[in-house]
Amino acid sequence: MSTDGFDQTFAEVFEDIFGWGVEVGDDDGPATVEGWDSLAQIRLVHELETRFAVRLPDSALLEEQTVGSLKALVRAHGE
Amino acid sequence: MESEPTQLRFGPAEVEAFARASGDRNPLHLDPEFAVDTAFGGPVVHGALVAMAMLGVLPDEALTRVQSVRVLFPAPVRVGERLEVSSLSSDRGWEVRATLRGKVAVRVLARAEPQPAREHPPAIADATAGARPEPAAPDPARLRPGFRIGGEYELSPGLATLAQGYGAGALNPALLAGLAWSSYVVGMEIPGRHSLFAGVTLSLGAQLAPSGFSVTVREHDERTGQVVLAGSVAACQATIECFALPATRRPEPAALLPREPPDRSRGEVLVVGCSRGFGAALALALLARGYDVHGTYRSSPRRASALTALAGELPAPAGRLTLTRCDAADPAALAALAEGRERDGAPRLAGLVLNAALPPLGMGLTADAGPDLAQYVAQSVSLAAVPLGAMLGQLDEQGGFVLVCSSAAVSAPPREWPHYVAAKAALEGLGRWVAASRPTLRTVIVRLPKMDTAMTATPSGRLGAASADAVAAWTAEQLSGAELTSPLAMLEPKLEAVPA
Repeated sequence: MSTDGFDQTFAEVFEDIFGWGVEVGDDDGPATVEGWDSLAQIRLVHELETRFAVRLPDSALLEEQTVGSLKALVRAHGE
Repeated sequence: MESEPTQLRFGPAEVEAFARASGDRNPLHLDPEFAVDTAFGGPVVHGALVAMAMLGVLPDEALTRVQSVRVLFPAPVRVGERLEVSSLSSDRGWEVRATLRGKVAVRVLARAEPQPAREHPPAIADATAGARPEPAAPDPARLRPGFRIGGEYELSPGLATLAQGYGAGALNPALLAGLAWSSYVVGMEIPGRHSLFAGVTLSLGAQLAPSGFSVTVREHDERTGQVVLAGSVAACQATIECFALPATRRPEPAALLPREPPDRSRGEVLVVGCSRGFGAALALALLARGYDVHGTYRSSPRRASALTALAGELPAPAGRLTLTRCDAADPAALAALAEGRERDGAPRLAGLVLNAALPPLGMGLTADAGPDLAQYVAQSVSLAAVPLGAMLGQLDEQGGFVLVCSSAAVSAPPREWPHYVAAKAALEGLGRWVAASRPTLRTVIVRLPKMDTAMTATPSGRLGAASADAVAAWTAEQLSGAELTSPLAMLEPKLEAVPA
């Protein structure tokens, strides 16, 4: 997948979970994105796994992540 | 364009009316004794009812144009809680938010265009359903991708009346039906009894018989219980996101037994908050070591009789269990308990366990949520301070113990629980005061880890949780052993997590 396509899919997943008009950068996470709590993160991980057809480790669900760390996890666990 | 905020509040009558209109009679909404034994701590308003009322803040000319609705339920709304509702219109459509405890609890996104539907997976199993009077019991077969149910969904005229009452009468009846039906599916069919509704996308455009429905499991994630369903009802297509929640585990007497034979000369321990979770497991572990246990509980007689039955399974010679139903924060009730002991000439207490607590719901700390946080802390402190005040004079001055049940959250504060962290830190302060002012007592502060109790029967709760039985057996072993000396001990059990 091209970088543009990758980022575009990421943005769509974020919009799906957090609603319209959420613009996030790689450093954003639970501290800066309104609504990013543990339930939202579970849904986020699930949606990323579905869209990118990957399986992320339990740490993606349990530990605090940022947009950048999730992107790195998706890349590391994709083919 | 942003609207002036308005307020919404749902009482038991509104919840009952929606249950009747939608057929979603899940006990989480209607049975306080069931609801108090969940991570939500009390009855929860149907999310679909909240969403319907939120749509009611939009003007009729907007509602009549709505072709699709996406609803997200980031946080539960309990019966009686007050929501701040505001709406925003943009070139995308209309967004309505309901805020509670400093967080958005429900978000509704309405658009004038239909949403592209997700494809239905091929069905592998069929069942018929509809108008089920009791929610489906947990059943892994019903969560398997491809599992499909279909049937008739009769819309009650009460639904339109309710919608009109909230100002949402101009919404397309198929979307209204879709909202009520998705609530019915999650609460009654898949997953059924132990479920959490997380979101739904509804769009006009399905071609089905007016009252027919079909719904198929698309995805099921066993780590978290997340389930995605695709379906349709009447002229409405739906993608439903929800969670199958773990059922509350009962303590296992066999996991709570002591290393040494029980000693029946240990005396009596008062366990405040003993009917479930860690309190129930600790009460059993103390009984198994020969202590008599007098337990108090507030809300669940069903749990209390289950505890009595479990105590009966302990090998002899276990201690004697006495249960009293009272609110630990009620000074009159605790004073009566203390007076009753004195009147009966009961011996001094060997121990007092301060375990009563309120389940914390996630909170964001905003200025508006500050008073909510303070109230939570005050209520939590009352649940320990009142029993302590009533019983301090009754403790055995030579080696009697006071166990303060704190949490590992004090050393590693979870972002979403500022109120819980503050409350547990306050309890620890109270424990330190006891240690300083009554140095012949053994004050023990235990920072309990995340455990597999009702409090963690949530999507993320069970990940990395320890067994409450193992933690209770470990704690009882410490209390009955000789290692803990006065005046103060801090315990932080590090136990292996149990596989979820």
